Amino acid sequence: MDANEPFIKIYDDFSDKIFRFIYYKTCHRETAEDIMSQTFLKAMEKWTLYNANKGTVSAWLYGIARNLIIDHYRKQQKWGYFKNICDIWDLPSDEDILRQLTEEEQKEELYKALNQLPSKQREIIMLRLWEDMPYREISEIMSRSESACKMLFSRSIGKLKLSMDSSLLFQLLISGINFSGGKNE
Amino acid sequence: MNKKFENILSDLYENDPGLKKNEKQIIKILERLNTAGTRVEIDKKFQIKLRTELLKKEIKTTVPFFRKTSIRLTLAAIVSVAALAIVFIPMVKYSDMGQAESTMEMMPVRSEAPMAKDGLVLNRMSIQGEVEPEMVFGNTEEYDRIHENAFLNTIDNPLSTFSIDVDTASYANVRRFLQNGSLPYADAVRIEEMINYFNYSYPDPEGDHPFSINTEVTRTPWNESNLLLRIGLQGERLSFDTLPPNNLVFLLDVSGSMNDQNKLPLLKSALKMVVKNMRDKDSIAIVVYAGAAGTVLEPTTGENREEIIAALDRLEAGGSTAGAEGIKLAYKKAMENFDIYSNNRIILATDGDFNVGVSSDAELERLIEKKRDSGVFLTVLGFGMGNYKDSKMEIIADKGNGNYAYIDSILEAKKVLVEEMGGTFFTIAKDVKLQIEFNPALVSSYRLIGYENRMMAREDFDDDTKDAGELGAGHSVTALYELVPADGDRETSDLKYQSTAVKETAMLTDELLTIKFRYKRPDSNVSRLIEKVVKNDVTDFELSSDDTRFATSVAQWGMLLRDSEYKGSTSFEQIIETAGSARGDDGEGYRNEFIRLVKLSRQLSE
Repeated sequence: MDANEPFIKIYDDFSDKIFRFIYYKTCHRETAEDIMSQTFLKAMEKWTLYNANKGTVSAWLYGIARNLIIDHYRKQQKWGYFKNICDIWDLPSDEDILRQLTEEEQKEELYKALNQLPSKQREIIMLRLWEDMPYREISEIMSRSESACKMLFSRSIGKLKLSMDSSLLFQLLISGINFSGGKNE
Repeated sequence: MNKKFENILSDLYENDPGLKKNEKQIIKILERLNTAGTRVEIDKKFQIKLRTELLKKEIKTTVPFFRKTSIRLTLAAIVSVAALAIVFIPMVKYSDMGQAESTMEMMPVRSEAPMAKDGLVLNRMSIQGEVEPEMVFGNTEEYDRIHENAFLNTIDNPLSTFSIDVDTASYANVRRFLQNGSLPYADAVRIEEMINYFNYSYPDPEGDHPFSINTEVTRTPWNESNLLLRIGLQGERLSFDTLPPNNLVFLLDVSGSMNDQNKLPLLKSALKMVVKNMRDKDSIAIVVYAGAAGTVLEPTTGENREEIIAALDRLEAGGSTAGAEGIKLAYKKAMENFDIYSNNRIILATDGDFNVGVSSDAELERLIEKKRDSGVFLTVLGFGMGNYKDSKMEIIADKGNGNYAYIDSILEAKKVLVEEMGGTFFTIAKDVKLQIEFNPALVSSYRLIGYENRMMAREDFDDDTKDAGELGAGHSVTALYELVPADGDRETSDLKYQSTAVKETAMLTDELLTIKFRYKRPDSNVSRLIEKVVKNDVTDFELSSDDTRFATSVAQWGMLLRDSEYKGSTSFEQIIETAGSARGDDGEGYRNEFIRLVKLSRQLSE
């Protein structure tokens, strides 16, 4: 049992992050739980093979998870499977409907734009923005230099901006009108 | 603006100063991205559960052998890769296909299930890692493609050989589709399983054999010029008290995917019904599998049924699906408690989503085939929807001397596990095969309706090593053939090197065909043979028995749902009329329910 302690420590440190990483890429809670179990079981199996000189534990774990996700999609693709329902964007039920509707519309734009990005670009947005990870850590996980990661991130944001420009402009305009309307009254 | 955004922005400008003049927009994008990504948290229960599992697991602390010899191995690997490359390069040249595509070619054909009406998910809702978002649907159900049996000429194909199928899953699954407001996928409709869902009032067997054989020949209602042959098998109806003791192992899937209301909770109530009906001499063990397989309850007899119920109550879903491990462990448990005079059976309850361990269908098949010889039978109960792996479960049941039912409601659980418990749990004949020889003087061609994945080669009929379906106590099996009558002329096939002529005796007799049956007693490995001749006595369809008419209307419905090219003049109205007049003694109301479903499907297809 004691032999497991260091590994369990790693589980405690990383299970939340790994779960979210898989969830963002699969958009399905059960699938994410399945893949997460597989990730840690595999990591445990290969624990003796982990080599600290080659990279951090987190990079190693993310690598295992990423491969399992790729396997998951490859398997689905090969058999012509379909994806699971994505419930990641579900709003909490207590939000009022009007806000929910505008948020839904705004999100639609965002998802469209995000879906147009290559997977590496989506991954870096997820890690940098959602996980608030420093570039040092991201560079380990994505196995590329910090500056390359920074570049990748700014490219992704630039690309998002481009594809969202029109809708954003429109919204800025609308909010401007509302604002001035309020003033007049 | 918070610190996080400030940092992000300064990094951004460092790389792309041009972004600075659009700061407002960039911040807006970042804000939106940020709110979109903060809503997901791990389920704490699941997290703790996996942690406990990992704690229990034995971690390898010794360095495996190949690490020490890694240099040698690397060298060997380089040499062998080089050798392989030499072999494969010429082959690759001829094909531009990627690896994935070429493996796909070697796999059995799967049908792409069209999306269910309620399962559609818009592209926008997915942010995926590895594939482009075009094929995003809210459904991962799998069905094997069914290639319908075609008409075969009796001169070239005088023998038709197939294995019985007592599964009923397809009907319950089709019902689930309809009740959810959509028509089923064509490949989810297995006509033989729909016909065999119902009980028929065939007479009990007399004499030595464990089942009776009944036939009837009528005109085909969807094609007046053809004949319809109905073959019915009726297994012995045994009283519960006389049945041998049960040695059951419940093998339950408690992985994360079983968490829905129509899965684990339904499964628990279904199995509690079995426990409540068990006798003191029966015993039940429970094995579960999720991330890892484990025994929840050692074999416990009916005297302590409260213990079994308590164990069922404690089950919770979580983790991935180590299905193969579970199967191995369940067979091990069944063997520990094995008694030659008992009914040794594993009852596997799952949504069929195996994704840890032995994961390819072929490997799983081999594993089950290996375990089959142990004398332990297998019942597969399918649960849930949306992620339902029908193809995999049918294979498991088929290869494992078993049967397969789909449980979509507590009522269906009652039908399968209580009312038809004898048929579900007690095998009275195994490897039951049929071979029909047609008289070419009277039948020019024939078509077996359904049983597509039960067809066998003619040689396999007499080969006792070839596996076939099991018949349970009280089970009935029905098969329908559409026959094209011969016009009376002597037909011959004249090829370059051989010719086949119809015998003089065939021309003189009024025998339409001969059916041969083979089966084995559950504990025997030697088959027994029964023969039955069917004469050319044709009844009008309207005057035929309720059972024939009802089975025919179910088959017709299946053909409509599959949009079969052989459906002829079949219509919903005609099915409703026929089935309505053929309800017979429908005590439990299943035939009435059938008519309701036909009406529902008519509505949905309008």
